[in-house]
Amino acid sequence: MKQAIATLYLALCLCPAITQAATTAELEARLQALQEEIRAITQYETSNRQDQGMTVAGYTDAAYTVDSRNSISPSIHLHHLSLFFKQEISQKWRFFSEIEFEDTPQFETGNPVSVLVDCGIDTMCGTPDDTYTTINTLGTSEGKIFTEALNLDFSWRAYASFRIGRFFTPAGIWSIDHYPPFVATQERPRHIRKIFPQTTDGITLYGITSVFTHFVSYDLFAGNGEGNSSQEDQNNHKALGLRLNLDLPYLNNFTVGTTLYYDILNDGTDKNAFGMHTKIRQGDVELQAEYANALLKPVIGNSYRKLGYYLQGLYQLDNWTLGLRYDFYDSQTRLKVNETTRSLFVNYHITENLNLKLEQHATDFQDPAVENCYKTIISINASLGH
Amino acid sequence: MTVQAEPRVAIIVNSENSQPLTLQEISNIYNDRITTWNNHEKIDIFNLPTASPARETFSRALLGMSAMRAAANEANRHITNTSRNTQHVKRERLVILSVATNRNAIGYVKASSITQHKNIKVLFYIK
Repeated sequence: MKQAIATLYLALCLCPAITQAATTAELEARLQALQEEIRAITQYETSNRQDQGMTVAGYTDAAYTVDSRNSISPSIHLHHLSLFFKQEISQKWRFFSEIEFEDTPQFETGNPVSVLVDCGIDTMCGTPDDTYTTINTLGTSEGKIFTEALNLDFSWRAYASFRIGRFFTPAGIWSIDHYPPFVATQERPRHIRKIFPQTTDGITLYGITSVFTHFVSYDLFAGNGEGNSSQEDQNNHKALGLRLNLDLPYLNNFTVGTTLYYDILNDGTDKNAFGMHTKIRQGDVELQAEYANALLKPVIGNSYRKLGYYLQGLYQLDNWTLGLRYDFYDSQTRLKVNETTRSLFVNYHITENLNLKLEQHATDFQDPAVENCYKTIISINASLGH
Repeated sequence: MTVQAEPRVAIIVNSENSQPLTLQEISNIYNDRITTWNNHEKIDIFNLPTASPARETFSRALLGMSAMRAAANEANRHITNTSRNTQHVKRERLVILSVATNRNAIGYVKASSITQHKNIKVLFYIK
């Protein structure tokens, strides 16, 4: 009996230890299983990005603008809603598109219109037997819907990739880095899009390579040229362009570059454009400048130039960006009708994807018939995922 | 008032990765200039969330800008379709695990967080 009690006592004493051992083994097994699961998830995320399907991102901005000219009323401007659709089809192929809804497009039905749908049994139209129906037509529209980018990339090597479709013309800095949530002002420098076209429908070869401690990147492109949509190219000539960019290993960032562009416009005007750009950043101070110059030779009449440049300085102070810019644009140097704008601005970055801007622009026109003006803009800008 | 000390940050790669890197090269990786290892395999870049003090330390020391500014630059590259390589933003434990299990990965974490892991190699400590 004593032996039985002693055995029972021993069993009761050891039981928690046995249970504990089993629990520890189970926990270790579960931990290992979880680690395997996490490993699988991380490997999936890093090596099979193309399986994640199409991603949708975008940005939006709204602004309140006050202009010193009496003819322009203060306005709230719902400026952009742009949606980006992007997919990494494979390690080397990538699709990208941007559909831009600019100025809140609004389509309204107009007056009802009667439309003939059946001429009746005698096939002679205009008789009382004819059948009509009433339809609504699009009467008014505001804003625009625009396919700003639609392209397919093939990344062969870092130094040689291809892009075909519609893309932002690789020219200077602002023509590429222009989205409101990531630039300091709603107003772009005056010459942007006026010397180099905003977008190009065509093909580009691009890449980056290191030369000692420098990085050289390039975009060599050919496209339909200005004023020619994807649907219809109205002339036989293709526009050609080259953007070169050199990143120097000085300061936090030191970039210099140049852009060349050649096109024959639909009216036969021969266009040669040239640009230079630089961006320098050290600590919280950043300087950015661009210069562009186009020589246009019409079939009839004298040649003329378009010329523009700007110099912009930014200072980062925690979540604030303070800045100023001077910019100049002459749309036809022959006539000397230039304009200059001096800008002061401040941004408050609520997050990296959301900011508020206050900016003031003072523009002087050389032409005395055009009234000089001040413009003040308050805006909110949001980048919607990426 | 409590003053939060800047964390010491460890830049880490997988222990199988034998490629030597300089701080300048790491900066170029995070600036989207270098996208592949010497064996031409794509670099898997890991970042911490913008609010992480370790990311602030890393961004200031390596990229010369605030974490928010660096994140905005990365977002800008994405929406302008000029990004050459994607950066994954993960919490610290997942960054460590990702680097430990992926020989093409690079990341950075608070130095005090990596003491127990065998499959990662510390390239640099920065502060």
